[in-house]
Parts: sequence; structure tokens; C-alpha cells
Amino acid sequence: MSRRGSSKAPAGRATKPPSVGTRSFDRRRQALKKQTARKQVRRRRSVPSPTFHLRDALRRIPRAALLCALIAGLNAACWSIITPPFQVPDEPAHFAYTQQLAQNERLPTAGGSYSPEEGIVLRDIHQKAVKWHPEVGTISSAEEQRQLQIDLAQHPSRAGVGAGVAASQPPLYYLLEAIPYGLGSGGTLLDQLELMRLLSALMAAITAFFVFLFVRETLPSASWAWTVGGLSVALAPLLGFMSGAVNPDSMLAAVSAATFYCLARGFRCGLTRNLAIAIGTASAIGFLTKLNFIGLAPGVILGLFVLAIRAWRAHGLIALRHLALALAIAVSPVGLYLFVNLASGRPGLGIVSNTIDGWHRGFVFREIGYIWQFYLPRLPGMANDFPGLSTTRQIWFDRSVGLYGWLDTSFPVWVDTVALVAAGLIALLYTRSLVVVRAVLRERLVEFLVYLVMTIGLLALIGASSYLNVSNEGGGGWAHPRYLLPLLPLLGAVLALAARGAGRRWGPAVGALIVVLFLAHDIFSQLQVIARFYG
Amino acid sequence: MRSVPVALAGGLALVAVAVGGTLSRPPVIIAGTNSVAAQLAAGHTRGDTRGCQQGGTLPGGTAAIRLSLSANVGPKVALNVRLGSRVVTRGERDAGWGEEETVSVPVARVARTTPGVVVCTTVGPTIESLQINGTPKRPTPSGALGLRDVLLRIEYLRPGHRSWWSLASSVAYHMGLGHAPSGAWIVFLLLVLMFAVAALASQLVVRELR
Repeated sequence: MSRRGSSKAPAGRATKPPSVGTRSFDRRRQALKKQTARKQVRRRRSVPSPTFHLRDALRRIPRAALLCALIAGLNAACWSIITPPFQVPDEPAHFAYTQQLAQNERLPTAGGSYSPEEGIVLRDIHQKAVKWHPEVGTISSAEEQRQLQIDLAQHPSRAGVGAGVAASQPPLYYLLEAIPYGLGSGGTLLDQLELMRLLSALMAAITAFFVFLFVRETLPSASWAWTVGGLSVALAPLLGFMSGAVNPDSMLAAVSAATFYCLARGFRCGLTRNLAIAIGTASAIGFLTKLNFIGLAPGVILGLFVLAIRAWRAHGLIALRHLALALAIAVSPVGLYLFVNLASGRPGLGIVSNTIDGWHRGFVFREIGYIWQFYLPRLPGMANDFPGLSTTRQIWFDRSVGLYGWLDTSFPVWVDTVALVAAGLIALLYTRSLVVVRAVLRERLVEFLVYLVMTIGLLALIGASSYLNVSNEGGGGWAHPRYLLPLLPLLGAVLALAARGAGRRWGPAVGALIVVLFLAHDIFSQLQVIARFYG
Repeated sequence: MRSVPVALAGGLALVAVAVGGTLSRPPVIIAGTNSVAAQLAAGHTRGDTRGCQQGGTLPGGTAAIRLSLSANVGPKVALNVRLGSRVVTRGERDAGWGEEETVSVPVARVARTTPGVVVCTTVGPTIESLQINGTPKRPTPSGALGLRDVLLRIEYLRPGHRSWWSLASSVAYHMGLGHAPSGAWIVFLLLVLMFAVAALASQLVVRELR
């Protein structure tokens, strides 16, 4: 029964005249009138919140979105087979985190060693010799395989202590990974690893699903273009590569896509109670998945405030209650995480605390200059932090074209140039589309501002982390496009708009070519990885 | 609208031809080396430097030269291979490579084998310390040496003689090792999955893009 229906009945009963004296009856009638009027005002002010029927909701899901999800999941499953065990950035550390969570039932530490079982597997598959050496393939003889099987058959201990670089991350992804880890506990470590990789592949499916829905909400008038955005992202090799491995970036991409979708839904339909809960829950899951989600938080908060102000104009104070609900749900895990960390003597927000510390130590202006150049050409007056390097092209673009394994597997150099031509054409079509829909853009400027703040927040966080890495350890910083996976919904929207930029007549054909381009990129990326590790 | 199936079919046909063409070519193999051992972190440099060393015999057909330099974000690397005053081949690799313990620099294809070449390496400005892996020319504490003080390991790369097609069975066997599930059959599983991905994507494009 709907809330509106249920609230009508008592109001109707209340208007029935009672059989008592005239004066007292008048007083009561007036009191009841006032009460009914107050109820009606309250009802008018309340934000419409349609009753949620799971079956209806499932029926309303577009089949194309489900197919995009299926394709992304299958693609990531292919990547999980192609990429050799532990030849993805930090996979040994992420596996160790899950193993120790499952075996010891407590969070691992940064120091200390992996379990003897993991150590033996890393040794037997020559993980260290292969990593960062593109000229060295994986094990290639029957003897090496036999040795691996003999060592695994002896059931070495699964108890370890440390999880290296993964130890600073929140535990939600690893808790989920403990399920396939447990399911595969009767087999070997390699069986468990493959099952865990398949859970990550499921995350790729969720990502593509929400990207499709995000594009649908942001470009409601061009239904054919939704598929271009959703399908291209589903076939993106970087998503497949990272989601074919044990790495929380896969889940971060999924939960970020869900957050983008919920916000877009809010901008289109208004902030309802259910949507406030959804945004809060998605944010809470994001915070508990990977600390990088903190970069999206300013944009999410801004979006919630904008949605609440709009709802407040139409429906009054109840909108603020929804805002408070969303914020409370979103922030609660951060509070818990802070408490657990502070209680165990660690920095409150893990490695993000170091970034905030850096700001307190007066890095601000130096850091802003560094972060700018981390992505864009240097401006006059800035110190040159990247001499001899065009970060936009040589880091972010070229590395997006293809950098697999432990970032040691790339295409021949000429491929980057060819990719630049394709990207240039897509950018032209996208720009044309923006010009055509400029009136709509103006109307929805605030919405786009929210997405922009989310983007800048994430970029700033990654840049600041890299700056601290350079300042403290003198390294070259962290620069890999996988950190941008949370922005995949925007890529989906850009590609859909680019297809629209070709006009109504040629748009669908151009959209088909964009999808084929991503499919080709995916296939050649897989061949490149196969050639590097097994050739 | 027929343009969508036509674009899709044309695009897929082009991809199939490109895949077939790529697999018809041979993989890159090591044609020769200068026989220097690549000791990790034998030296470091902040870039903007140049060093020359004996390169041994440069094999005919060489299309790229691999040097034992490593970085997270590598600087521009230029190579100049000479015999006396004559330049035999040259090439360069833009900045941004990594993360590897080596860097491959594409060079103009060498027509014939040339013994006794000198390889000069020029490294551009770096954003981090570039690690030099090789053999020190003189005994000095590790890490205190620059590009001129360390002999780099040099590998000459050229296309092999057999195509990827002819290596397919050995690649499939190799792919079945060190995995779970193991066995060459996983290659067939992989093919089925990828064909399913391509078929589903094509079906979706034809149905939705109208």
C-alpha cells in the first residue's frame, strides 16, 4: 500500500461528526479541521517517495544495461585467465591482505612477511624475475610446473603477518574477497586466486551496468547513444585488466559508477528518501573500499547540498532531513575507520593523513604547482617539476593506450601516435556535440559543476599522494591511469556525446565504430600481454 | 538504418585483418648482446648526460636496442651507433617509459651485421634518479657512478624467423602453466569467451543503435 493511500484513511475518519453537544462539537470540529489542514500541508511538503517494488524495479532495468554488464564481466574473466598470477601491480599484497584477514581474523600490518604458502608460489612462478623484465616470460617447462604442484601439495602454512602496501587500505574489498578465498580453500592458492579474480570481474560488470545507467540519466534524449557509452566502457582494456586481478581498484570503479549514477538520478528526478539512502550507502561503501574515494567526496557532498536545496524549494524541510540522512550514512564508516586507526596508533585516515599533514607543513603552493603539472602543461611562474616530460601526453595519454603487467608491458611506440589520431577525432566530435547542445549545458551547469568537482577532487588527491611520494622518497611519483577508473562514467558520457556529435544520420554508425575501436583495443591489449608473458 | 550494420561489419572485418596480419608477423627476438652483466643499481644519474661504450657486434636486421636503464617514469633516451666516424644507425625513445629494468629504443633497421661498433647513449632530463644497471668500469662504491662509469648491458632486437601463427601451439602450452585452472585447454576457453564478448557486443550494437 502506498504511503499516500494509507494517510488518506485517518483523515477521512476524522471528518465524521461526533454525536456530542453543539458547542463542544463546534470546538472539536474546528480542532479537527486545523489538524486535517496541518496534515494536508505536511503531506504537500513531503517529497514524493513512491513505494519500492523490487520486481517492478528489476523489470525497469534496460536489457542493454544488463548485456553491457555481462560483456564487461566476461571480458574481465578473460583478463583473469590471460594475466599470470601476481603480475598485476600490488596483487601479492592484496592477496596477502585477504589471506590474513581470512586466516587470522584481524587486519594485517604493513611490515612482516606474506604467508609461507604465498612465498613459495611467488618463488616457484619466478614472480620477481618476471616483474619489470619484459624480456622474461613466465614458467615455461613441465618441470617447473611439476615443482609448483609438488610444493603446493605439501600444504604450506597460510598464516602470514604483513600485507605490504595494501595494509593501509580499508577492509571492505578484502572482506568480500574472503568469500571466494574461503570457497576455494579446499584447492590450492592458485585456485583461490582465480576465484578472487572472478569476484573482481563481477565488479567490472557492476561498473559497466552503472555507467550505462549514468549515461541514460545524463543524456535522456538519445537512447541509442547510451549503448555506445556503456558498451565502450565494458570493453575498455584497462577496466578488464584491473578487474581481472585482485585489486580494490575494481570495486572502487564499481562503487564510484554507482555514486555517479545516483547523483545523476537525483538531478533528474529530485532527492527522494530512497535516493538519499542510496547515495549515502554508495559513499559509505566507497570510503570502506579504497581511500581514493575521499577524492570524490567534496563533489558528492556538493551534489547532495544542491539536490537538497532544490528539494527544499519544492517540498520544504523534509529535504534537509534527507540530506542529513545521506550524510550520516556516508560519514559513519569514516568515523569508525578513524576510531579504529586512532585506537591502534595509526594515522587517522591512513595514507591520506600524510597528505593532510603535508598541507599543514606549508606545502600548499608548491604542491598546487606540482599537481597542476602532474596533469597539464606548466604555467609561467611555476617551478619545473617534470623537466623534459609532457605529462598530459607521455604519462596520462600514452599510458592509457596500454600499460599492463607490473606496468612493464606496453605497445610499440607508434601505436601511441595512431591512438592520438583516434582520440583527436573523438575529441572533435565531442566538442561539436557540446556546441550543438550548449543551451542544455547552460541549464544543467550546476550538475556538471558537481561532476567537475568530483573529478578535480580525485585528481588532486592522486597528485598530492604522488607529490608526497616524491618529497619523501625521491621517486618519480605515482602515475598510472588505473587511478582514474572511478571517472569511467564520465568517459562513457563523453563517448556517447561524441557519437551524437556526428549528427542523427551518422551518429549511430559512428557509435558502432567507437565500440569496434574499443573492442579492437581490448583484443590487441590481450595479444600484447600474451606475447609478453608467453611468447 | 543500414549504416550501423555496414559500419560494424566493416570495423570488425578491419579488426580481423589487423589481427591476422599481426599474427603473421614474427615476434621480436634477441639477435645478440654485448655480453655485459646487468648488475642492478650499479650507478645512478639525474639525466642530461651522455656515455659511449663498445657495443660488440651489431647484428643485421636489428630494429631496436634494449639498454639496462630503469625508472618509474623514464627520460628521453637517444642512441647513436657508430663505426669509426660513420653512423650505422640511430634512434630515440620519448620520455615517459617505465616501469621496467630496461628500455627498448627503436632504431633505423640495420642492413648488415657490423662488428666493433660504439654505442653512444644520451639521456634527457629526468624527474627522478635514473637507475643504471650494468658493470662498473672501475671498482667504486655502488650508486656513486654515473652513465660514463658503467658499462650498460646492450641487447640487439630484430624480428624472428617464425610467425606468431607457427608459434601458436607453444604459446598455448605456455599459457597453461603456472595457472589455475592449468592446461592448454584454457586457451580454447579464452577464445570462446572472447568470441562471446564480440558476438554479444555486435548484437547489442545492431539492436540498440538505430
